[in-house]
Amino acid sequence: MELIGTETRAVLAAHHPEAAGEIANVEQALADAPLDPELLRLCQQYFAAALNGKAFARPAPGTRDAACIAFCEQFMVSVANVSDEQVNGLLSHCSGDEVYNLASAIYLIEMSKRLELTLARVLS
Amino acid sequence: MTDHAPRLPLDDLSFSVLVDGPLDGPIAAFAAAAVRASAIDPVLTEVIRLRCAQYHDCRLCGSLRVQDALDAGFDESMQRKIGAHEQSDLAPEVKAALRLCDAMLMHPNDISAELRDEVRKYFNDAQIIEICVDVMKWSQQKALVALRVEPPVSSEHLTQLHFDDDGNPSVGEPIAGAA
Repeated sequence: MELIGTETRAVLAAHHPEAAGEIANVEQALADAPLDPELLRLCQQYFAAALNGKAFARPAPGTRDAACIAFCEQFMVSVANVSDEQVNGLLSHCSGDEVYNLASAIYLIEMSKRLELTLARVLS
Repeated sequence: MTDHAPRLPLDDLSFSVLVDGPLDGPIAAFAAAAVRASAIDPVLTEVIRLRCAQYHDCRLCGSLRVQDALDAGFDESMQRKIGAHEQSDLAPEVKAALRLCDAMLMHPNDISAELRDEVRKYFNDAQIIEICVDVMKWSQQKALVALRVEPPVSSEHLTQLHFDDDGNPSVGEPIAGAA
């Protein structure tokens, strides 16, 4: 999956090529990871909407997707205040391994979107 | 520093994920690339690292101090100013970097023209990109904070954090007189 767009990739390649290369490696690792690509895309859509102040169509309550988006929402606002309930919500649908890997994937998806938005604003 | 029990008990994880999760290596390689960059000085890098640690309430990050930054003049009086940097006497370029860090961590889409101009007054494109990549790198513990599997190295004292020439971290000795 692509974490950053063409313009951000070009800027990074020009000024921080090692980081650009490692982000490409991370993208490949995400594609190869034992995680549902549809779930990762949903997370990416959520962060793209939320960090741009746009509406997001929430998944049906009680589903794995809803538990994941609830986790993403708190992860984005204040990771220090993620609750036991939010993690347990994920664990009711996913194994411990999946939750661990998903948390790492969510970090990459969220922070790369923040990186992209910030560079677009500051370097423009 | 807050006290938390792990939300994901380590015995819930398989051995392969525990020792080398499928994303752990690539994230570590990205982190090492960020550490190897040198367009900004070690003291400013440490300020950014600790701001991320504070914002995310990362107990592990907060318990460490990068030795290169200490060698370059970073001290605890500077650390104490980071949280309320707007009211501090930190240098204007340090405040500008912290404002950029905060904006990226909070509302990157709301970055104003004033902040953009301020940042560009003090930093060139390569430095701005390095600061932003650093913010991403020093936020890698978000995943561990969310699961509360980021205990401090010690709750009694601060500890040295070293990086080798490849950007790989290692924990060093306790820092005398720092808690």
